[in-house]
Amino acid sequence: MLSKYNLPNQLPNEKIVKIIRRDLFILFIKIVFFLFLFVVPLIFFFLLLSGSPGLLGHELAYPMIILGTSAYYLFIWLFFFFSFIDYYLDVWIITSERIIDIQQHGFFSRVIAENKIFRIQDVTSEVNGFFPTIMAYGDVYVQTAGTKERFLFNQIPNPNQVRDTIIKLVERKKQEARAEEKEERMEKVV
Amino acid sequence: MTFSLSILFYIYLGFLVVWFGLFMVALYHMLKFGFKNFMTLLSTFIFAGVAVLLIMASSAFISQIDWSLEITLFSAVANNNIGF
Repeated sequence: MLSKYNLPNQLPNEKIVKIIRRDLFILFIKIVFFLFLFVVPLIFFFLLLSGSPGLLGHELAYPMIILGTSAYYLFIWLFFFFSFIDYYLDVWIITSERIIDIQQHGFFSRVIAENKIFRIQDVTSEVNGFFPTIMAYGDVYVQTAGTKERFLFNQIPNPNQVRDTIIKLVERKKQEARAEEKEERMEKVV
Repeated sequence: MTFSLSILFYIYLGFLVVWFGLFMVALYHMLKFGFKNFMTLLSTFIFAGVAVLLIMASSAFISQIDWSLEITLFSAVANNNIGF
């Protein structure tokens, strides 16, 4: 299990600044979708019974309905579990030293990527569309030195705030590096 | 065409085995890769609990059915009574 006290390849003096998942609204959309799927058989049976009530008279009908309904609901529940796992296991961790991107792509495929804070060159936040604007969620792109691909924080809450946090961390890291450089120079002079 | 109702039950059991395997994979992912916190344990408990409830409700209905019953489908075809 992942722990906030035991990050993968934890660096000395590394502190977690923020743990981010996709916005709760994304989870809400998933829940609404699966609630709809839960109601579909009820609507189907209502229409079937009101249209042709004689269909249920056959001795095969009752076992088929019981088995079919059971299988349907078990699979819907399982897919909802899969969907929740996809939401819950996709995590971005911002620490004082790096940003870690953990992505679960279905089962048996898990990608963990990280970027050092001092490598970050450009941070962009983006809020596009009606729901993202209303619910205040969006994307944050992080461009690092030497890499073509951008690091993407996808559908996260308060992207502007996250961008500011990363920029502050980068600035602090740069200041620390400058101070260290200055100290080294002073030591050489002495 | 006559067949035993139990065939349907065995097909359902086969389906249940596949479902159980996939559910175990999901549980494994949740407990292996999730954060070590209350939310992970609570959500896993809720998903497992509802799954158990669904299986219990299903078995309550399934146990009421006489699976030894022989079902005749397309009786007109079986008795060669199709009136063309």
